[in-house]
Amino acid sequence: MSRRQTRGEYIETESGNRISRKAVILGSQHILLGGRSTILPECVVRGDLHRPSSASSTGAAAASVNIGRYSFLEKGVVIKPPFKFYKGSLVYYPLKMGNFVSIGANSIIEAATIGSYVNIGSNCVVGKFAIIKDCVLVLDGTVIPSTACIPPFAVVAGNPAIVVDELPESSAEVFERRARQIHALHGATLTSMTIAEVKQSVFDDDVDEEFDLMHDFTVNS
Amino acid sequence: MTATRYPSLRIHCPCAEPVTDGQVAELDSATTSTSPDPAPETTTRLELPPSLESPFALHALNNLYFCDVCMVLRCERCVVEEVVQTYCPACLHVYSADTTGGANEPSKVTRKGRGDDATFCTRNCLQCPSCFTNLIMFSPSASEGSESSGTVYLQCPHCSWDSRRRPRSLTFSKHSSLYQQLRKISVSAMSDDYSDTSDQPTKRFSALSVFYQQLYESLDAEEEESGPSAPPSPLFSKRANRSLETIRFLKSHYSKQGGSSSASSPAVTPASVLSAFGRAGGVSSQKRREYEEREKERCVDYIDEEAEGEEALRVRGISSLDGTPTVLQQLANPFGRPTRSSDLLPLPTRLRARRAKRCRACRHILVRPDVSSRKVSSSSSSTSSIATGSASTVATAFRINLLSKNYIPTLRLTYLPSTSPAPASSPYHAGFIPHITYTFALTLFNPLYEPIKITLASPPRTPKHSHLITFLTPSFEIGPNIEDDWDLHALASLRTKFADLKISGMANISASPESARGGPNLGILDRGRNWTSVIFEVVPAKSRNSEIVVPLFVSVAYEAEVEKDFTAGGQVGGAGDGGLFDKERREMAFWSVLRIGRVIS
Repeated sequence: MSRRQTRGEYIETESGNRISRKAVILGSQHILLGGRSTILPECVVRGDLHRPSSASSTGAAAASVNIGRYSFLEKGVVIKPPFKFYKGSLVYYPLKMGNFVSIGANSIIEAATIGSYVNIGSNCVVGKFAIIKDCVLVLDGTVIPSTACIPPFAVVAGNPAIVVDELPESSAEVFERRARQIHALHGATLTSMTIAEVKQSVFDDDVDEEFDLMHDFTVNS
Repeated sequence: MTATRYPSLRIHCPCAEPVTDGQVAELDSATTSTSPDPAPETTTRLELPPSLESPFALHALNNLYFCDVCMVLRCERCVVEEVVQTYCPACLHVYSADTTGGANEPSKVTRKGRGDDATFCTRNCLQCPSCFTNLIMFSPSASEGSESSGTVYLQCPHCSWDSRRRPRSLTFSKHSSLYQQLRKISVSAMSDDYSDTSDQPTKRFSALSVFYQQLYESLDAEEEESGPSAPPSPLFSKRANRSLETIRFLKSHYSKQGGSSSASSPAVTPASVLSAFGRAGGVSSQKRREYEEREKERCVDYIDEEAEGEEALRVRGISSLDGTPTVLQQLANPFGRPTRSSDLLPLPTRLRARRAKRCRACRHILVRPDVSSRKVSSSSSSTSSIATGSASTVATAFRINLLSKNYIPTLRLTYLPSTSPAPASSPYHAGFIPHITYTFALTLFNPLYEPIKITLASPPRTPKHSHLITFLTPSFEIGPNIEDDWDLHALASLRTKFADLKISGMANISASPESARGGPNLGILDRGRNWTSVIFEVVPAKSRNSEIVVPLFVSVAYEAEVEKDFTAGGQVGGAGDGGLFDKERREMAFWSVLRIGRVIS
C-alpha cells in the first residue's frame, strides 16, 4: 500500500466531509451532507433531479439528497432520488439517509428513506420509494424492490429481499463505532480504498467478525 | 455454520454447562468469581468447562448481555424474552404495546381479533405469493381523486404478479382493510372448493377424533369376532388383517366425506396383491378361497376415482411442473393450499414483535425497548430528519440495554509479523508452520469508568493438539474509559506501531517502552488511555491440519464506588474516605476461545 497519493484527490470541507474529485456530483446545491461523510471515486450523486421548487418555499433550493453524518459511500455507488409518474410527467421525491450509513461498492440507491446505522453491501439495488428503517444490515447483492419496507434490526438478503436474520441490540453502537473507525482510518490514509482494504491495511482480523452472522449466505430466489 | 474465518474470538457463556444435582444453584450465579484470587493458581486450579468446545456455547461479544445483579454474562439462550410490542413489518403500524414496557411481569397483552387475526396485519399489507414482496394497491380511478369508486387490484413491483391475471380475477371493493376482504373471498377465489377455512383446525381435529374413535371401536369388535372363529390364514397375521381394516376404514371415511358411492371395480386391491402372495406361498387353496370371499365383501378399493374428485385426477395427470407453485408458495398461504400457480392468493403479512429480555436467574431486566409513542427514530442527532411523524410507529430506542461490551473488556487479536521469525504473508490464510514462534498482540479495551486489573489464564498447551501458548504478562491493568471515541485512540496507536514495525523490519519486543523496563511489564506491548496490548506467543505443534484453539480465561477485578448505606447499623461516619461512597471490590470472569488458524506442515 503506497503512502503517497496525489494531492487533492479529495475535497475536504469544513465539516469534515471528504468527496473524491473523481466522483460525479450533480446539482451540489441540492445535496446536503452531514459532517464527516466520505464519498469515494466513481460515485454518482444526482442532486439535480429534484422537484421543481415552488416560489413559496424558502430562498434556498430544496434538498433532493440528504445524507447524514459519518456516511461512507464506496466506489461506484449511485444515489438517485426516486420518481413517480404523475399526470404524465416525472416527479422526483427527496431521498434522505440517516447517520452512520455505509453503502458498499456499485450499489444503486433510489430509496425514499434510509434510516441511521444502516450498512448496505456491495452490488445492491434499493428500489424506488423503499423505506429502510434504522439498524439494518443489507447483505451483498440484495435487491430491495420498490416501495418495500425493511423493519429495524433486520438482516435482509436475496433477490427480492427478504428478512433472513435479526441483529442483536448492540447493533446501533457497533455500527456507529464502525462508521467512526472507517472515517478515521480513511482520513489517515487518504487513499481511495474500500472498507475492506482499509481494514486489511491495519488489522489482519476482520471488523465484521463482531457480528455472529452467516456471511456465506444463499437465499432461494 | 459457515467455515470459520480466522482469527475468531468468541466468548463462552456458562449456561451451557450440564446441570448436576449439586450445581443448580451455582449455575446461574457467577461461577468462578467466588474464589477470591484465581490469579496465582491459574491452570492448576481452574478447569476448562466441558462446553468450551461446543459451538452453541460460544458467542460473539455483541450478541451477549450482562446482568449486573448476578455479575455474569447472559447469552441469548439464558435470557427470558417477553413480547413488548407487536407491529407490522410492512406498514410499521403498532398493533399492541405493553405500555409498561415489560417492567412488570408479563400479563396477557390483549389484541384485537381472535385466532388468525392476531398474527396478521389487518390493514392493507399483502404480500406477493410468488416472490413475497409487498404488493402495491392500484385503483384505476384513484388518480382522478375519487377514493371509493372503482375496484382495487394488487400488483407486485418486483415480479409483476397481478391479482387480475387469475382465472378468477381478484379485485377488492374498497381501499381499506384488504385483509378482511381477502379472508372473505379467499374461499371462493380458489378454483376448487376447499372446505370452510374459517374454523379449519377445529373441524379437522373433530373429524380426526371421530375417525380414530370409530377405528378403535371397530378393531375391538373385530378381535372379539374373529378370535374364536375360523383362524385367519397363517400367511396373514393379525397385524396384516388389522392393516386391511385400517385401509377399509380410511376408505369408508373418505368416501363419507366425499359423499360418493362405495366400491367400484378395483384395479389393484390389497386382496388381490395378497392373494398373489398366497399363491406362491402354498397356502391351502380352500382356506385361501374362504379368505378371498370374506375379503371381497369387505375390502373396498382405495383408489376410488369418484370419491376423490377432480383435483386429485388433475394432480395425478400432471406431466410438468409449470403452473405448479413451489412448496414454499403453497405453504405460505394460511387460507388454503393452492395447487395451481394461477390459484395463488396474496398473503397476509405476519406481525413481528419487539421483545424485552430478562436474566434467567434473577429476573433483572437486561433489554427493554422504548415503546412510548413519542420517540420515533432512535438516532441521537437532531439533524436526522427521518421522523416518520406518526404517533404509532416502530422506533429503535431502548430504555434499558445492558450489553456485555459495556461491562466486560473487549478483546482484539492482532498478528505481529515483524516480531515472528516466520514468513511475512499472513498466517491466517497461509497457515501456521509448526515449531515456529508466532507473536500476537492481544488488546483489551476497558469499557468501565474505573481502572481494572486483568488476569489472564490459559493452559500452557492447547487441549486438543498441544500447541504451546505463552502469555508473557498474565496480570496487568487497564485505565478507565473516559471518552466516547475510545476506539480511535487504539486504532491510531496500533497503526503507528504496525507501521513502525513494518518499516524498521527488525524491531523486536524489547524495543517497546513498556517491556524495556523488564520485570512484570515485560509482555505489555502498548498502552492507551483505556486499553492495553499484551504479547502472547504461539508455537504450533506438529499436527497436520489441526486448528489452533486457545481457551483463555479472563478475570476482571475493580473497585466500584457504591453509595454508603446509612441505614445499616453503626456505619455512619465510619472509617474510610468519609464521603458518600464506599469502595467495593467487584470481580467478574469469563472464558473465551480464540481460534487462530490452522496448522500446515
